Amino acid sequence: MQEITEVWAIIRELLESQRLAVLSTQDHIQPYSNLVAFAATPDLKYLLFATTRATRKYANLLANSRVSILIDSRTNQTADFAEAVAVTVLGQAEEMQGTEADQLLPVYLDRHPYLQDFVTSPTCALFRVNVERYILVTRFQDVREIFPGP
Amino acid sequence: MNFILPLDAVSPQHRKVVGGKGYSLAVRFISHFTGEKQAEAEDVLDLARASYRFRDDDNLHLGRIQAQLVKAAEELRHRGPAGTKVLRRLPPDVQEMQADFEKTSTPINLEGWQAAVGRLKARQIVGQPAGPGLARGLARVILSPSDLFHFKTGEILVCDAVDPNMTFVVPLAAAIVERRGGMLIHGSIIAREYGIPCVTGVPNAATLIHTGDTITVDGYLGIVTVG
Repeated sequence: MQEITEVWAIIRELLESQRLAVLSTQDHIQPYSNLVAFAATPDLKYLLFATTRATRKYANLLANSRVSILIDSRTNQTADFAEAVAVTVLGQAEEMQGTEADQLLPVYLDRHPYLQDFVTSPTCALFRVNVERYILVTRFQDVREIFPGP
Repeated sequence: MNFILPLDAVSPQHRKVVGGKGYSLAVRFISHFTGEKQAEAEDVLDLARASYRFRDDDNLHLGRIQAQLVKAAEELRHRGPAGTKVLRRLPPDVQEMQADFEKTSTPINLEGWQAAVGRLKARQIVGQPAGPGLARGLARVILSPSDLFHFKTGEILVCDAVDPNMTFVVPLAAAIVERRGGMLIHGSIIAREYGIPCVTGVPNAATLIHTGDTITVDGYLGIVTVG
């Protein structure tokens, strides 16, 4: 078993190398997955993403704030089975408003400066996912769970 | 004849616009001035609105002239070779105008969609933000001029292009979605004048959206969400 610091290093490297994640939401009945541009806070306790309010995912998040997010490094090659890294993030999403949004917006825009117009539109919502657990998969079958500290 | 003033007084009951209202825009504009300058700004705004109405009246008259031109061309074609000869003798610019008008007036062919295997449904379509604001309501797709007469207050006007003759329904609309693109096309200009959210340059807007669909128009980002 790798040391916890090594696991954190793998997760950090993955989150810093990828710009898009698969966000899964559900409205109590039907799971729904889609790509979102994400950013992680430096302490890896939170992930951020943005969506307009007319979307299905926004409606799902209003109905059920629990989410699953998949971030991975696959390249669609056979080598992925040995080399690709994937992390599943479980947590709870919360729409940011007021000063919280003001504080987190620079973190998000630092990662995605080209989304300035999108994320600052009055019709767009910034979400913070409070990470409860990271599930790291390496070498196809090696699975480790890690829980952020308080 | 001015259709706009009396209809402008009608406030769409179901319009849910966040920001972008003509009234608040006017207040914001006036608030940039003080004292005598404020009165001057109000005058300028009145003048601009009057100019806009004159411009729009011109468009309505032009639309009628174009319609008469098409009618005349049809009549000449019915008269056989002699009539066609007359058509060919028309000045090139008039011939071009007639061809353009007939082309844009052709009803949209839906056969391709009907023949498609399975069912295609647009969920979210991206165009260009042409009038800020957010509105949600039932779509009214205009495929032929007669569809305009079914338009109800608070519906969202969806069309290939806002024709000058369609202007009279615009004040009743909660939002406008148009296939033709640009910030300076007729639909965009009147949408901003009335503070109505508007998205232009939406590919196949009039075929992907159906009358009665509930749609959300995000005039800030140029996004139309169906359902």
